Amino acid sequence: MCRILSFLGKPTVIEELLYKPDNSFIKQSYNPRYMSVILNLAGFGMAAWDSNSNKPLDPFLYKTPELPFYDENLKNLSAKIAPHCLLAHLRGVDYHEPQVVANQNVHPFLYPNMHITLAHNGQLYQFEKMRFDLLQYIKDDIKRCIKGTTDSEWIYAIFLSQLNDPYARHFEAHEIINAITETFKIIKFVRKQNDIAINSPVNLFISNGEFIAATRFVLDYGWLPPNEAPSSHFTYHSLWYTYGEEYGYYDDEYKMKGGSTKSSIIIASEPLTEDTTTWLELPEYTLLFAHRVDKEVKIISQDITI
Amino acid sequence: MSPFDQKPERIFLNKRQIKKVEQGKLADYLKPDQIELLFQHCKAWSFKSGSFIVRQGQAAEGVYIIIDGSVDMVARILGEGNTNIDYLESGGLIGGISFIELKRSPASAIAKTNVTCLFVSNVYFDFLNAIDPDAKYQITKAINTQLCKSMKRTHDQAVKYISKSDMVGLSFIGRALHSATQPVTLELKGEQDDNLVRLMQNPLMNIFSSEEKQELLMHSSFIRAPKNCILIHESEKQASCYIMLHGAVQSSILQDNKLAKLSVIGPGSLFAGIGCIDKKSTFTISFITCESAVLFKLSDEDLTYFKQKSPMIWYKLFSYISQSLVALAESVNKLDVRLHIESYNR
Repeated sequence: MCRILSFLGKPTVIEELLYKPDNSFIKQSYNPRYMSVILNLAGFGMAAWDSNSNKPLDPFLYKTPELPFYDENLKNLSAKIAPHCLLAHLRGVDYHEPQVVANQNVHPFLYPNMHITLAHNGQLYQFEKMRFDLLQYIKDDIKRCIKGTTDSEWIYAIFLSQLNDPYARHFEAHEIINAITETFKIIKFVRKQNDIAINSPVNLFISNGEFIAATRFVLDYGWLPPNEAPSSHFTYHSLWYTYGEEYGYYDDEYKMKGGSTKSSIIIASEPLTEDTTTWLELPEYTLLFAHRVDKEVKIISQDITI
Repeated sequence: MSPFDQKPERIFLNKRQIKKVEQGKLADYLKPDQIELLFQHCKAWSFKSGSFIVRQGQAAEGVYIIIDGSVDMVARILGEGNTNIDYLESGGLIGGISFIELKRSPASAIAKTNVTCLFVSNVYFDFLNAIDPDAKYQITKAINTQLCKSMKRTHDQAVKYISKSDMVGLSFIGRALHSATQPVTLELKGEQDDNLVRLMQNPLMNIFSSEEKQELLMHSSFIRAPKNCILIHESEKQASCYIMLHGAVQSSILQDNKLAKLSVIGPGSLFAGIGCIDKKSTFTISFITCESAVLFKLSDEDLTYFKQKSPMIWYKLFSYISQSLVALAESVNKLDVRLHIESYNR
């Protein structure tokens, strides 16, 4: 259970995404409106791409296991950075002692010399049982990069291993979409081998600064552990987007401004504003791929049928 | 003062207006004494041309019945800005969706001419629930009929778009899978049967008394359906509704062998076919399992039984059926928007 925010489009000061709207991303750490079970208190991370920065293809990466609403550095930085692409993540984990709250478990993940980042909202049920059966699907050089304890980082490693060249700087839409689909197929297959057939959400957000791919997906949706009452842990995790010319403060509210050129998109776990009329909830079992074509952002979507 | 900001004026209906209601669309649903009761308890309001009757995002306080004048329904839609989505005249109902869903209004209602409305407040609906549940049911039915008409319009736009688009068609294997898989009826293994326990734990069941629950169980069935099993076919005219216990079902529009997903329904939810409200028009919405599933099923025959023999159960079921149809209408609207924005399944 986490929250994710991604943005691609006209450069935007990130405090307008993280702090300013009435359902701002930072507010979602302690008061998420679309989840009721736990708060997102186990870390904040973001990758931000600014084409005017040094090494523009590499993101500015910020990660902390601390509470973001007490982080003065983050607040100050967010008023200065205006990237054209952002992927931010709030980590939420169960309130149990075995949980490892540490920097290596904070998303988005980005391995050395690679340019694709990934953030995950969800949880693979009985991951410990299946973890090492996934190893055979991960390339050797990528295996050596795994540092954390989360299922999310393993999903990242499997995903990278499905790309022909995970070190590449540019990717075509079909390469990313195929790699995501293959990743889901592998996880599904290994779960079957281990007799795991319980509801496991896998909302992925993937970006390299040129595109955002997002999935709203659950493996074995609707199958809860025996004798367990329905809970938000086992529901479909929400995923919304808004799309238009430019995001900002217009007509006394934060929103995506319309216009003939659609050059910006925000994809997020929940809308940044209480008024959701300019947002659209993505249906379940769907993959969304947003990328820049000339000055516009184009959206490809497809049903996930594995 | 801009016309948008003008306040409505409380008025008393004249004889012509009373007669118009007594002989209008509402008379198809309500008996004369039920309409009479509305006049006694509900206030009439006059809105100047151009003024807001309901604002998008506003909390719903009841339903307006249009007596005189015409109204534009306008919604702010992603990618389209403010868009006229419907046009209502005498007999039209405003605020029905918010009333059924208990949510904020999804659209604004703006008086196109001077408009007179009768306002049926939520408080009055609660009162009706206690003294005349049939009247509440009939008004809800009228709201649903209007909703189905509006859904049909959006549905037909989407269907046209799908027909023309280069969306990937279903494979032969995909079609064969859909037609080869069939649900099976499950026998309950006593009171501790997992499916029965799960049904009884479902909050939807809380509105039924113990006796009503027993009666529901006598006229229903539990079914198991494999993945890719069609539960409600496109164009199906029979009424049926289901409560999901395990697994998931996808509602879709199937047109020219192309499948466009509307929504996915998970455990705990009730869904119903269009046949529960509209048996005449041609919809192409189908419900197919997208995971293996266990469901509590009320067939056309079961629903007819409750309608005729146990109206109290039927009224309660109907309130859930209404909610599921509102959700379906929202997903049709959403698909229509997505088809214009996204390059979907191409």
